[in-house]
Amino acid sequence: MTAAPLDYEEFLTIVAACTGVPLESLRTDDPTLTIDDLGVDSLGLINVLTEVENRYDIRLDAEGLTRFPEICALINEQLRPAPARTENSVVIDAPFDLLWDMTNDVANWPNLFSEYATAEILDQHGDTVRFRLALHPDDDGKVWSWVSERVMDRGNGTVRAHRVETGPFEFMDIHWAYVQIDAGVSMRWVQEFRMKPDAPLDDTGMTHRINANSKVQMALIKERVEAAARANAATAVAR
Amino acid sequence: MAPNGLGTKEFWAAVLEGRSGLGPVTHFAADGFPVRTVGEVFADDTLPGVDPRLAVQTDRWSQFALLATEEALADAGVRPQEFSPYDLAVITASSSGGNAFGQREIAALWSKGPRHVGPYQSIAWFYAATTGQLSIRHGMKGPCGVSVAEQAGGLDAIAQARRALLHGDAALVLTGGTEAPLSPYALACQTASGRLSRSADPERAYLPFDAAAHGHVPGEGGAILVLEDEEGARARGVEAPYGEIAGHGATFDPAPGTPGASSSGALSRAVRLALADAGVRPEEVDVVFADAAGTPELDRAEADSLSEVFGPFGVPVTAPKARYGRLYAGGAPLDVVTALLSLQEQVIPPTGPGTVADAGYGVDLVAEPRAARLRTALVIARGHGGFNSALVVRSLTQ
Amino acid sequence: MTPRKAVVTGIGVMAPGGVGTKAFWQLLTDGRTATRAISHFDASAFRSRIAAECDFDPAAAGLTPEEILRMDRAAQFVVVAAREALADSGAPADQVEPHRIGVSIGSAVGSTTMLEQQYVQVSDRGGNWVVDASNVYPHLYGALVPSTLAAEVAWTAGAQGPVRMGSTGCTSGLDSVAQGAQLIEDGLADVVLAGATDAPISPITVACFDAIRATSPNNEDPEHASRPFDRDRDGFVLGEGAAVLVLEDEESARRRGARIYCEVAGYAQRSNAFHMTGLRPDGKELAEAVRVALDRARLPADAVDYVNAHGSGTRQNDKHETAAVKVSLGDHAHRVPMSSIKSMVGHSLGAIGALEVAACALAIDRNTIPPTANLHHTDPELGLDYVPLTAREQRTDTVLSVGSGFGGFQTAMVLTAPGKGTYRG
Repeated sequence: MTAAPLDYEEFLTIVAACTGVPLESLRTDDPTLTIDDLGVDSLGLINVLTEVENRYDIRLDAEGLTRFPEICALINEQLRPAPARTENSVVIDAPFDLLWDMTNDVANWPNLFSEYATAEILDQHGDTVRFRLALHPDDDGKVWSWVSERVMDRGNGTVRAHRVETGPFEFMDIHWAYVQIDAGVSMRWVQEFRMKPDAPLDDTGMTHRINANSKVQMALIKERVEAAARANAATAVAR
Repeated sequence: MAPNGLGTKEFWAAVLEGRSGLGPVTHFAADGFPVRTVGEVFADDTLPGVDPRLAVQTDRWSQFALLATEEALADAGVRPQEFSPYDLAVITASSSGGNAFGQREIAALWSKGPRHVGPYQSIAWFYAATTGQLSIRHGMKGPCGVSVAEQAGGLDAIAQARRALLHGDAALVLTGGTEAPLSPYALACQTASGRLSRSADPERAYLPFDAAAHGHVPGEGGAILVLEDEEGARARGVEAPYGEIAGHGATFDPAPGTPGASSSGALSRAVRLALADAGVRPEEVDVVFADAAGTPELDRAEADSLSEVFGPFGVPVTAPKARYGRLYAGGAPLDVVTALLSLQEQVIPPTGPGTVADAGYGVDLVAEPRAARLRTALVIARGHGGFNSALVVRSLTQ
Repeated sequence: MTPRKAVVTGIGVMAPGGVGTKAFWQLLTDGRTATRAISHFDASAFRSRIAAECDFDPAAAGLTPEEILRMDRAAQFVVVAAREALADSGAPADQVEPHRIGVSIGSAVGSTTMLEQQYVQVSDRGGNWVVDASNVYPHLYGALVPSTLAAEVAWTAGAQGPVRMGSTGCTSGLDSVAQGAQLIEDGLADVVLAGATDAPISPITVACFDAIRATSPNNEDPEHASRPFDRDRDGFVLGEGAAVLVLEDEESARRRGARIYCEVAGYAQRSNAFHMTGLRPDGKELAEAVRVALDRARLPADAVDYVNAHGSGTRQNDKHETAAVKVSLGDHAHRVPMSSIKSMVGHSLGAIGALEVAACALAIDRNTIPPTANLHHTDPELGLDYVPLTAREQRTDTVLSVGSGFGGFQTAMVLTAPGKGTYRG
């Protein structure tokens, strides 16, 4: 159950104050009852919406909505805080193609990242890959695992991914960008997400964790890719 | 709905006793106001008995009318659903509309922005709000009207209601008027009229026809009447109507600065027109409910009119409003109610204990309740700017 | 004794698009629109920022500096219109006893502009609930009470007969002309200045209609925003103005050889007792008002040559009104032209009804029907002849004008060419 910023009872209190309809007749268990059935006309509804808009400084378009629970849901949708966001980047002194290939070879991620125990490709067609990742067992011996989908756009140097099985997240959207610069290639990871209310970590906790872990993983990737680049260069020279 | 009595019974008792409904402004801190005494209906802002669904979308002035209408319909034994809806009309008076409601919304607009103006402003502030709400609440689909001729509008509305009945345009009309002019901005606007009493002493603040007259006290409230075609009323079993609206006359004063501008001529003509319309001679009028402006110039003009039509000291004159204030659109309908009750009870209610008529006016001002044989009463109302309206009310019993 | 009949012998108009009756009629018959971006105040924070404004210079219109200070814009409008109407009628004022001259004026929102402007001063821009009453504008009481509007007309006309001031929202104009006609019919006056005025283009009124989303938000294209009966209509466009008609007893008008535009043949007012702003789509009560008005004019439905519509351009009004006309005029509804001048001069609340009666009187006099401007795609749900875009010359002896307003008020009025009506009072 999501904790709504405006709970339904409080919403009904606003409705009662704005329309004069007694609170007890608004508290109905009958989900089919419309706003009209409850004795609230078009002006009364506008008065409710105006009050809510001004109270929270939001804009509501309730066109077509006929029941109060729908309107309360619409309000809560507008009231939800912005998703949590992390952004981390690293400059890797390696050729673009090498970096791209290594970091997008999902099947090989357990050898690139330190956190993944396994990576199983479930489906791959074109630039889209669907896969299951599993972490190493945590302190309690539990193995966290989930399915993600990843769409790669090599021409633009971007990748979009999201969790299909969201686990403790309400959602998790990931955006990677690769940009060639003088010192090498800049690789940027942006993650947007919101935790479920019953998740072991809240948005802030997860933000810290991702930021900390990204630094570790990026450093590791930098080391491994640059090493590969040096190895390639040595091979080239040896020829 | 009067400052000195809620409901017809309590109001009539107060009027007979000369009980005052005047006092200091309690709705807000009026220290800086050049008016200190008003006639308030309630001590607080909430009017008990108004359906909360209507309360959110109406100004106090409409709420007075909603409450008064409930009483009037019950008193008349009228169930609107037993009539054809098109036979039911609503014609009310208003002088200044939804003052407090409007002030609240304009304040929101200017202090917070347009998005803070609520949807009810569009239906609560305008002068027709009361008539519209009454029509909707009671399913009245006949001709609806709103008279906005300041204090005279209350009589004009009743006259218009009478016309609708006489022309067969309606079988029953809710008519009368109410006013709620005591919110800060409305009261501030009234101070510009130069006609408000500045006295802080409720007993000395409003003294019409008295040598000490120095303005009027504004009050709130009013009255709603059920007016019916006599035949129809009798047919549905009404045995003792309060009386009949027998005649009406309306005139307008000459423009300020033109000859005769502040004289009594136009008012005298309105009175004569009303008497002629009712088919009564001046000597048949038993009591006059005066407009009683309470300023020397206007009192003089009204007194002169009465002398012209009835002769000096020719008819008992009373102004019970001296005890509850001038209610603008609500004032004259309340006078009509008082007149009808006087005819029923055969007693003239007093102007009040403190008012002593200046002998120079030639007015027989009733200071104590006076028992008399009463059959015909005249009600006078004058509206700011020059409106004169006179209504003859007559008993239907011998 | 034949019943007394009210005829229109003079017209005075203050409308967007040009001062005076001539400019008004030119605008209407050209099918031009006077709607534009609001210039009276900074409307940038509002949802609807368009209106039909009058280009009005009170001094040029003959008002004295004292009158300009004393009068709200609505009062200025109606006084200028009254003076034009009196002059147009051949000014019988000095031949008629002042006490036989009456006045019947309507206004939906009275002197709201002055009330708001002064409020802003004494409340510190809305900051103080208890306003500063120590030094209020000397003419403020006149603004509080709308009766001032009729008083100003009475003063300018020297009227000392019955003076009526009514306020039935957006039917105020039609209702006040009807009340003026009653004063003539009842023998209470021989000449009546009847009309209505409103100057509502002020922040509070604009905000009011914003709040209920009644006005068009088509701020990008103000000239084409008022689109009654069009498929793409999205609300009314606020207007302002006034119109005053000189009504006279027919017999005395004929005796003095007055030019008679038309007769006020019948009228009726009904209410829907339904909702303060909502309308039932069936238009039943408006249809009843039309039926009674025609009955009083003793005219059959198919005598109507032109229907001057309320046609505000809101989704619900145009549907409601079309249904009412179909019910009340039957098959004839599909043959009779019907148009809305609000497409050109906007919706000036109470004033518009009087402007519409003025337009009807001119339509009868000139045998020309003003069009509905901006009507490029008639709403297929409506389906009557709404006279799109271009004025139509045709014999116009009998006109039906209808109005509908907040509070549920529905008014119908029948006007006929001189000598064509058979009104029985």
